[in-house]
Amino acid sequence: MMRARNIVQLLFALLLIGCLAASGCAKRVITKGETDRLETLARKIAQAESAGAMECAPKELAQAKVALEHALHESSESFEKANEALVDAEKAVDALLEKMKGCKQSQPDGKPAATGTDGDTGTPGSTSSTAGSPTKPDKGTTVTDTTPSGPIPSGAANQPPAFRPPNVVIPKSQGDEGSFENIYFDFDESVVREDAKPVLMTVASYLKSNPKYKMIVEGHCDERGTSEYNMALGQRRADATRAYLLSLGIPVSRLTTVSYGKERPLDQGHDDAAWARNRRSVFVLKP
Amino acid sequence: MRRTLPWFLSFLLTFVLLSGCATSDALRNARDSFDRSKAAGAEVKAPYEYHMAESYLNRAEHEAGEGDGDEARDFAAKSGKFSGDALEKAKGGNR
Repeated sequence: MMRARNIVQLLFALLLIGCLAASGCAKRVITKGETDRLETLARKIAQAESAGAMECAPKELAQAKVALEHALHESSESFEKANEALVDAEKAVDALLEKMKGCKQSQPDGKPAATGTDGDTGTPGSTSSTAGSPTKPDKGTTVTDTTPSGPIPSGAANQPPAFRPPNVVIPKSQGDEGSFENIYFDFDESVVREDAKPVLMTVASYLKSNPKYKMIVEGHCDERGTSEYNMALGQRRADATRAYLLSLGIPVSRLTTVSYGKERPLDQGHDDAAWARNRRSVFVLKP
Repeated sequence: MRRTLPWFLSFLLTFVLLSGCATSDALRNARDSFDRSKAAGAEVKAPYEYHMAESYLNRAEHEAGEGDGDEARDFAAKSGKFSGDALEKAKGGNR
């Protein structure tokens, strides 16, 4: 009798763990309607930003961007808050556009203003910093390369080299495993750094010019921390990367994300330099 | 076996409390960073970074209120990052 009761208790505990895990890990597919709404919002924000919203409507721009990121997150989770988040984002974008009506009169040239915020220096993959708003990549630090540059590093040795698109500007010194240069993150961060933005603009530009391709954005982490934590952190990095590409006008339907956590290090070392190389997003083109 | 459920519940409670503490710490740090940038005049000198920090912080507090600790911590970290940028710009670029 006692034994049966213990078994029931154990089953109850396992059921509870299962429910918690399911609620925390479950993903859902973004619906076509949500995709369209997210794309529309991202396009409007990108247009407002390129029309000078950073200067004349910074509060509304910030609110719209954060609301869009939140909506994107909720849409890919198994929560029932996706529609609510989308409505919030639409309101925020409406407020931004309303504010921009006054801005256009004071900035008839419509040029975005530079912010001059610097990213980190001396870290792998960094190019010279640019303005916070989308601008052309700094070609002074890059060369045209039509083939994979350099050997694939040891940590990615088991992965087949990704297709490198022709006529794409790729930094000469990179040994990155994806189709484009990787972008890198600060420790325990998922914020897209300033030095990553030229790369993202190159990626976005290529995707716009080649609509037949889709993109997988991989999120990776360094070896510190638990596998579970790094899997979630990698997903946040991939999501943040996708959100930035969305803001540059790439349809969400062409972007998928995956997290490899700390399972696929680019650099097998165990020091700061190796860890910095492993905290990254990788771009893989798919037909 | 007799004490499986109490042990499990104790473990669960500890986990929940620790998660709650981590979220509270993240929010407090983000709030402190934001207050410092505000005190340095970032609202005027670095309005975009300031408002990004504020928006992320508001969202983090909202998510924490709804019990989504992971997302709250993520937004709080982003808020802290923008607060740091805002503070840096407000101080004229010196770290």
